Amino acid sequence: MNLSIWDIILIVAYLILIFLSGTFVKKYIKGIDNFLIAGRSMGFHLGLLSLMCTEIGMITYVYYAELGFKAGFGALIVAFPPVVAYLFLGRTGFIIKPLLEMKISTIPEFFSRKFSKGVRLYVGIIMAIGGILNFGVFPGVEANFINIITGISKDYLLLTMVVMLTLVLVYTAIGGMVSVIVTNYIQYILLSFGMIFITIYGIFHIGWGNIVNAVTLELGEKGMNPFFPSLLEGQFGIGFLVWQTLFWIALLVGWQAISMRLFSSKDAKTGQKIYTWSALMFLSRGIMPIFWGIMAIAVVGTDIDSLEALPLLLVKIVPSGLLGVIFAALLAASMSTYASYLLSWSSVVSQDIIGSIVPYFTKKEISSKSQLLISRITMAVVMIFIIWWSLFHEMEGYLYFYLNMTGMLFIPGVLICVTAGIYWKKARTLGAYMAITFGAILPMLYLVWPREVQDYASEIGWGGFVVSLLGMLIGSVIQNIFQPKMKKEIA
Amino acid sequence: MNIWEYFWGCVILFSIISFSYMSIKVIYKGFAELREMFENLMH
Repeated sequence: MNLSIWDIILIVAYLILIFLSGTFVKKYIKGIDNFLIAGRSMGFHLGLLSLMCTEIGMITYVYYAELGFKAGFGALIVAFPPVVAYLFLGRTGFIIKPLLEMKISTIPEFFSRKFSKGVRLYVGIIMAIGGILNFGVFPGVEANFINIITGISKDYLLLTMVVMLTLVLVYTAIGGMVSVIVTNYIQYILLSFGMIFITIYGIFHIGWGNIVNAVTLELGEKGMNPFFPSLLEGQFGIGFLVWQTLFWIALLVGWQAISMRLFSSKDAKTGQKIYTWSALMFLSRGIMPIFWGIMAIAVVGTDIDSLEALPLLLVKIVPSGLLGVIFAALLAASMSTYASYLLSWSSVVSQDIIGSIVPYFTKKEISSKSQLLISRITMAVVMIFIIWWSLFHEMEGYLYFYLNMTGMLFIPGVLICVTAGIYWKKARTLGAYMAITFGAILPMLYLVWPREVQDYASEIGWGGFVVSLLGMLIGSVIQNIFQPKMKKEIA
Repeated sequence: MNIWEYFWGCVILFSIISFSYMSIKVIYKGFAELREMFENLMH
């Protein structure tokens, strides 16, 4: 066991505090709107804080650190596309302003307003598959991380994960988005301290010169220059940057955990402001963990499993007594992400899949009370699935690319459909179906044959957006020829 | 020392400073907004 009694007391106290603050908000939950989007009452600073908590999990640290560990300083370029995407959407209001003014709670809801209920159901299904496959690797990767940091035997790891996830499930199922925001506040204090501490302490403990020397020795010039050997041929060259910028713009529109934060903001102006300032926060969200992976090259060498680089680095450099604080900070990051993702993906299943199918057969809308119950049951089912999936799934290539590709199953289609739905009057339902379907084909290749196609990740990435756009154009043109009358306009 | 070393050094330093500043700001101002959110939810 790597943790001292002081570390354990601190972690248990943190867990009790989070559980109590997450459950005390039950009295504020009066309907599905309060449950899913906190009654659209979230202010700018809270929105920013909550968005950061959602998108910084233990898994974020692991996949970014893996990039830094494998590619050196060059991997730091990966932190820039989100900055471009956030600034672009936040400053211009492109796509997000019309969406905020429509007052929708989930992206698939847009599809039923602009296209048809069938498209909403179809998008909901693909989104749920992509989202839950993405979420499904979290417990396995994080269990391994916890095992190395704490020294808890692998035999008890499953139990540890179940306990942690059950805690999260209970407070999220009780208080929904309100619980998530309250616990996010406490978690962010720990999380931000942990990130700043590890980075600064690491530099002083290891030494900047030693870090640079280790990278140069192990990786040569490509460890410093992201475009090595050239802007076109480099692993993080122009193709990668185009893909990642498109991917992040799409993610900020269609990734349920992020867009739910946007829809929870109290008005369009606050939503845009949250996105603009998130650019700065997301730069650090990428830079710091990638740099931890780079520091690991100097401390633990390169002869280890890349996913274990970060936990091994922390065990080696963090002094005993502080490890409990750092572990609580990592746990905070992890739990806040689980809470948000459970809420997000179960809301797609309950609102967009079950919520579309049931009224079709019963011919009446589901009551707010039943929607709450369905959301809570769906959360429990999603949790059981991700634990099961993480036990059996084996990772190939970069974890970062796997997570990107699961998102890519629906992200290109969603971006193309939402953009066309808002800005192109001739966009039609057939175009939406084809855009979603075409956009999913290339990422599917990566997920089915990762070993064979992993060298073409960038091409698959930007290619997904191109074929999805083609799908929208072809489908809409065909429908406009054979069925020229527009049935619906955006409200 | 090459140009990339200076560049990445500046990027890392900037990210530490900006993240620290923004974190203090959102924690401080977020607390007041949390209270305001509960007041809104009560009505």
